[in-house]
Amino acid sequence: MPSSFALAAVEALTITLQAILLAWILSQVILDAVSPQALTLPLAGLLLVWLVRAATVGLRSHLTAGASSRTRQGLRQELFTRLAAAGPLYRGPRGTGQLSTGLIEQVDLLDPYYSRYLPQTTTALMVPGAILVAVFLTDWLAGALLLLSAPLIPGFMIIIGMGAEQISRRQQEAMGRLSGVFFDRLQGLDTLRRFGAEQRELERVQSFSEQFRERTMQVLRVAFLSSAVLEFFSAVAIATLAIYIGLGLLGMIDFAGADSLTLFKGLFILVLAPEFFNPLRTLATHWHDRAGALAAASSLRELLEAEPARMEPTQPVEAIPSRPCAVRVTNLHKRFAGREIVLDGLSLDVGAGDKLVISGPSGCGKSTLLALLAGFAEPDAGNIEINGTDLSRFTRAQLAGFRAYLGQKPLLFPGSVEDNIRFGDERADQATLQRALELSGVSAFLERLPEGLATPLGEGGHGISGGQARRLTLARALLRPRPLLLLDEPTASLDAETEQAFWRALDSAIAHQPMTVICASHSPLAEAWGDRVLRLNQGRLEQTGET
Amino acid sequence: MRPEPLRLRKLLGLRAWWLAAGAALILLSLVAGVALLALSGWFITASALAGLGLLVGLDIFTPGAGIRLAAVVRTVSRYLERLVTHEATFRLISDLRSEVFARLLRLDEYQHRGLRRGDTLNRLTADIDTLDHLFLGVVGPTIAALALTLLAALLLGLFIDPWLGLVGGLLLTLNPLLTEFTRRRGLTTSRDLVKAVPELRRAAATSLEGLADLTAFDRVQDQQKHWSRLSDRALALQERLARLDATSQGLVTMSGFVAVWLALVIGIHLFEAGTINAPVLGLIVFTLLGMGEAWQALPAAWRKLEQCRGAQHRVMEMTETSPLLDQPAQPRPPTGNAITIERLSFRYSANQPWIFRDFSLAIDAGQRLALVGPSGCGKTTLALLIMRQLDPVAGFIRLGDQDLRNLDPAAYRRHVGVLSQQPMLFRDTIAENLRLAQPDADDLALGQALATAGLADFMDNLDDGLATWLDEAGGNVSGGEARRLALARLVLTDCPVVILDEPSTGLDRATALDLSHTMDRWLGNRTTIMITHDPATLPPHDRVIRLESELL
Repeated sequence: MPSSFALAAVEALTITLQAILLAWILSQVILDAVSPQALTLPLAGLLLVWLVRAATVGLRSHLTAGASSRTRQGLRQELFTRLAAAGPLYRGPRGTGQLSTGLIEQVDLLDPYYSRYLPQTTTALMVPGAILVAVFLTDWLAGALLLLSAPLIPGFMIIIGMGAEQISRRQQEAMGRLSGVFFDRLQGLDTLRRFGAEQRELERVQSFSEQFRERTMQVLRVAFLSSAVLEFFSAVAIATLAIYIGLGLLGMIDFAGADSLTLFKGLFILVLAPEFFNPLRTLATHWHDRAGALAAASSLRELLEAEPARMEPTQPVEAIPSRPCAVRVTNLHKRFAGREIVLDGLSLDVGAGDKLVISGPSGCGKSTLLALLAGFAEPDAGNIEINGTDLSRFTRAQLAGFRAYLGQKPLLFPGSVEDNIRFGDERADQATLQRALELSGVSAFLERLPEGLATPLGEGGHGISGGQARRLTLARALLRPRPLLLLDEPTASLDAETEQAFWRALDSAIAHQPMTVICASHSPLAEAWGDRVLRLNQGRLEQTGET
Repeated sequence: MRPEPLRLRKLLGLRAWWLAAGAALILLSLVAGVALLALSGWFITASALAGLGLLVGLDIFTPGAGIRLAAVVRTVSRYLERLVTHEATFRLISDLRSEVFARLLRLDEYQHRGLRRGDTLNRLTADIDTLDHLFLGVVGPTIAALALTLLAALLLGLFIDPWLGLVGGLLLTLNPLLTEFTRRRGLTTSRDLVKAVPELRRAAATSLEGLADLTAFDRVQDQQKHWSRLSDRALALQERLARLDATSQGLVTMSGFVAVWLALVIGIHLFEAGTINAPVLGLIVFTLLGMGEAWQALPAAWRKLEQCRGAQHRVMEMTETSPLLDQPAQPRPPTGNAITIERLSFRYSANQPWIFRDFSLAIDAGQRLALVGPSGCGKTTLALLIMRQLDPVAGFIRLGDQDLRNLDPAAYRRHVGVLSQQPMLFRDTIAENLRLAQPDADDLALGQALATAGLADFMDNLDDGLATWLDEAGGNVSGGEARRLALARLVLTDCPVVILDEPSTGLDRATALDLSHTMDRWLGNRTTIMITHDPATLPPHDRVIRLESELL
């Protein structure tokens, strides 16, 4: 950043100037008995230099705040784009919670790095450098004394760095684990109460806190030593310089340039000495920002390296299917990094207008198959053809035009019932909406909702029942005639009656709006509803009989 | 009966000595830093005069020793200060956690479950962590900065010249004003930020969890726009606060330099007038130059105080809730195992529909009853009423011949055991999880309970056996194993009445049947109420009751 170099240069300049002016004024007053009136100009100059210096300090933080904001803004966009492209099958290292932490907290952890640590490295390089030159020119032995501590500083910075990194890592770990234990107990308060274990767990939480405190303090006792060393060097260097200058002025030192020392030179060096160490001390205190940011950056890098799950076709097809689709799957393979093979040479033929149910225990790969059919991800090998056209030749928008998808946990966002249905097609007219409400069976319960279509839904569909939520998302899918409907466990966690009502609604919808339906489910009612049931077993399909 | 409010001040009071020691050490390190510079300034000026023969009889050893002492004190006190303030913070946070935990434990189970909704608990944990800033970043440094400035102002004012005392007084007024100004300016922005971040987090969760639907309907870009708007807003608020901190940092630096400048001008005049000698002039200038450090970090620290206040407010609000259920005046021990429900009416609140009206049911001792019905028909509510996690609006529930409301609540809770679809297992060892039910059970008893729950093989395969650590919410065991562990815990309570709440839901059929077999053996002739929407996988039962909803 050129601006941070410029500001550091201005800071170095003002620091040197203030030292010259202050030392000169004092020396003039004390030794040459110059009257205060004659010093008006240098005094005004000194005030001005100080004001400029303070303004530089403020300005630098202003600039870095903006820069950090822009960096994080860009990073968040990039992360979101990456994660969206990686598709619904990408869960990252530890599920959606971890991804969301990455998007928000970990990006924010980079802030202190960009706004404090990084600019401080420039200052810590330039200011001590300039001071060293100025002091050397004044008195080479004093300069040598500072220089003597200077080569030690990188060494100490490394020690401090390691220490600080340890502090922040251990402290964060300990705090994290402690918060975890505490959080866990809070979640289970009712269980604790039921077993009458209140007092016992209270004591246990306290003893955990104690243990963590003792362990963390053991680490800190050592870790703080490293910054004490830097503190020690700066204090001792100032003391040594002061004594050297004093003795030199007294004429008690007759080597080096000590005999040419003056009050001006002495005060000049004394003003600069603490300024030499200050930027380094500040850098040391920001070191843990760096440690935190590095840890965050390494987990963010993992997210940024997520591969896109699907490529948009270079030459898309011109027309999308408008009648029930025939789906042909040939020799499909899919596996995820570090996991077992999910689909192993699966082939499947679905006729136009079929109602196919794919069954199998949870974790057998039903959802993966559905996701591949939906075009959320590309298979490792094999292909999927829709009415004879390869699935990869449809764009995302084209797919959305003819393929509807209803998953296990349908997305319901805070907004009205109508907003949630129109998610399937924002421009649908009133008649189309009405039709979708009828077909999905939403209209059957609509009047029981307090405000009908305008009823607000909370987070995750709070305000309507599970069965109502399913029918609402069915309405969403039916809002535009889409000749291919993919259902992934659409009735999970519904009771038998509600589930039956769902299948009836779907049948009536198919009667009015013909489509091919492929449904993954292990529910017996779903199996009864389908024309054909296939069982997914070890990555391949087995026929289980036709109904 | 409203509990006594949680007072932070009282908690701080408990650790007053630690806090005082921390503040004293910060002050000592600041004083040593100032003394180092001031003595050096004095010594150099005096030496220059003596070297020129303008000052006779200069003792060089005392100031030399003083300078060295200041250097050592500075180093040592900085180190100790960091140790002590961290120690104090850990202790305070630990006190606060215990206090919050103890207060929340007094609430009813129904209220506990309410806490689990949304991100209440997440926020509570984060809020308590936020409060450490109050101890580490605000209290100690503020006291130390005020004390240092006051000390300097008094010494300079009394021993040298009142005008110099005024310069110190200026710092003492200006800097707290700047600090307070920063805090006020940041107030609304901080508050907006407190709301903006959870909103952003929710939008992130929605985007990630709903990615399949967003992709399916080609709405990813719209969602990204929405999320970006929220993210940009949060960033803009954070940036505004950072810029405020920058401004106040510049202003505090400026006020420090203005004070040095004023002291310099006053000092020159005093020297001119012969009031002070040259070394004292050096001392004055370097004293004020050394004081700038103390105030640097304070405006930003005080600005963050607003976050602490919000956190404190939320923690207090949560801990000041009273239990909902009335305590019996003369609690009786629970006896008998038959449950009678008579003309029960219940609704959650006056503006919500009735769930039960004049509902009656008798369950004989030792009977096994299955409650079935569609979701939302009130099965779970009935279970809560029987466990007395809720009280009826009208009507009675009796155990034997006693109304539940007359029973000793703690004893009754242990009388009725519950096994739910998602039993709570704690981040702790298997042994500790089981000992919740019976603290003095030995390893043999735990082993027997685990065997009864059908976990003998499972335990044999664990390297650490009973000492195996369970991850958060039992993350490293399967759903079936988690339920069996909860069953083992229940076995240890030996409760005569058992409620099974959807015990087999979410398990595959084979596991569910296996589990129901195990439960059947243990249930024996305990009074059992089983709740399910899928009766096929329940243990054998005597009676089935179908609940139809009042609502449908």
